[in-house]
Amino acid sequence: MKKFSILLTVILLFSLVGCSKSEKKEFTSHIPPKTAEVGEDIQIDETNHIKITDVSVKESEDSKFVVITYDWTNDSKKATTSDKSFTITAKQDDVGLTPDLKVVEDKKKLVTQIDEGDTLSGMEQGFALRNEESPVVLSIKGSMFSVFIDGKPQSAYPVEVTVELP
Amino acid sequence: MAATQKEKKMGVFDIIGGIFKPILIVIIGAGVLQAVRDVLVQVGAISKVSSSYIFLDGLGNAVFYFLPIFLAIASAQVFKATPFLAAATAAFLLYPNIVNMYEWANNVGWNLTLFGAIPITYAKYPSSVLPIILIVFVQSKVEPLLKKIIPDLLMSILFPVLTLFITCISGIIILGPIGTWIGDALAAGITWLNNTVSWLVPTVVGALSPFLVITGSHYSLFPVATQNLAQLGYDTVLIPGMMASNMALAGVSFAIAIRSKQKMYKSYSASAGITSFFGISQSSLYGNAIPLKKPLYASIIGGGIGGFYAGITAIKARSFVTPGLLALVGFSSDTGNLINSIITCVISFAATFALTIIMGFEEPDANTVAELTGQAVSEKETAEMQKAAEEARDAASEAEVTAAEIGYEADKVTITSGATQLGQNLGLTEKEEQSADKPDAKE
Repeated sequence: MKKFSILLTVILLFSLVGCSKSEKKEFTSHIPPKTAEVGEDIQIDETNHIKITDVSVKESEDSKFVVITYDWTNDSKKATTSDKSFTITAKQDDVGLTPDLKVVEDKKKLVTQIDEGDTLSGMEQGFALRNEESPVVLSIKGSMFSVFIDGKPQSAYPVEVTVELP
Repeated sequence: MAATQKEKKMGVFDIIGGIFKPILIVIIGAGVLQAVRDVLVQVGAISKVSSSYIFLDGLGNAVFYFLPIFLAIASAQVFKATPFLAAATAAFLLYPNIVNMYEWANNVGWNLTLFGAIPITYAKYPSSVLPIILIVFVQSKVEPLLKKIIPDLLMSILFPVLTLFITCISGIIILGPIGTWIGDALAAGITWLNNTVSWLVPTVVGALSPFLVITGSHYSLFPVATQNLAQLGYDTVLIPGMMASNMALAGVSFAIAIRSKQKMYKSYSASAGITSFFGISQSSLYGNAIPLKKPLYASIIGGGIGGFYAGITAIKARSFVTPGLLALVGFSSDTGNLINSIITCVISFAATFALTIIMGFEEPDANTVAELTGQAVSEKETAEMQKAAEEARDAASEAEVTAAEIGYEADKVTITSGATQLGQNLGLTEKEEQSADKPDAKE
């Protein structure tokens, strides 16, 4: 019984190691850019495009907020909402900014379903600023888990857009 | 009645220990698989984005991710609630759409509400412990009430519907966010402490990590650690303290593995100690420290001492890693930092090991060990249990016979007195006999 258990463990380990090295088939995927600019059409994954159209600073209750306005194009084959497609987060001086929607005019757009191939314009997200000097770095991450670069899988990464505050 | 008094005496740790006992077998299996995964990644046998990694990671992580479901069933057994309704509530909390919605709302700052009016606080339910235990506790109080008020005819439909609705809704509104609220307060406190007396933070985290893990409050410290890593390039708040605590729990398990008189428990404790070395300390915490209590105190002291050393030497974690021996790679930026990290591990382990031996512990009974280890009870123990059951049965039969005899005597007395009464009423018994009896009665 002991021998059988040891044999089973060894087979399990070998198969795990073996599996990792037997993936010889070449896989490809969309490779998103690591950085992008405001106003540029950014393809963040296989099916989603984001275009940042405006960056503004608004004040509410003695706090300042950066408001990002963008268009989202759903290139997938089914209707979907933004929460299932991508996330946008923001950092300033390498510190994550707290999201806040109180300065956003139409937050319902964030949960509006759009059909395949359609574009939803004027979507907005707000973040509480730490200061008004440092630039804000936006991280836009699509729904892909991994990307294939030269046929090798790598963890998917967000596209970073650095915006100077107006 | 005696059982009720015993239940009343059950402390929080007895309850948590009782809940975790049946599921530790799963936790230790998953913990070892996580350690194997980390070793294979470290030696370069598998890549972090390979399918092999995903499968192996899933084997280890799935148990922890879906821990609330296991806990729900175990809690239902402890609190005497319906196990599968409890599991359904846990499944609701872990339903992908709900988990994703929480994450998304947290990312964009969306205030979630129920029916457009009741605010729902953000909470992270995968791997959580406290919320589901509280929810099932409430379920155990709701169920008897529902059984009283629902007509029998509608019981099969309304009972599950109302139980699920009430427990799930109260769960997401009040009970679930408790861990988040505690965690947020704790994160604020730790941040303040870090700005004021930074060396004290690893001491506090090293000592209190077991409680942070139980309440799920440690998640609230992740942003603090991540921010430190991003801003300063290192973390001194979470990882050094948690590493000290994990080493302390390894010390507890190995001390028990040496001192315990039960073979199966020795084996269990040794495995738990190994996984704690790799930073996966649930088996030590819930299988050794909490059920035996004294080792828990030893781990608090040992983890605190190790954390104190980490604090005064200001050891820095340069990456976000599982706080175990493999995490030492993340401390190897300079030799001094690495040496102090190793000393922290050694102090935490040795102090707790020694304290556990010195303070001693009460051996768990055979049934508890069988439950913890998932092993069948041995033949000898089965025979002992059968003997005890037979003795109890004999005692019960004797009591029954005695009760029957008493009942028979009582019946005899009743019949005799009834016959006497009847005789008097019919004039067949003379009154002199009655009056003659009276002085005797007085005497």
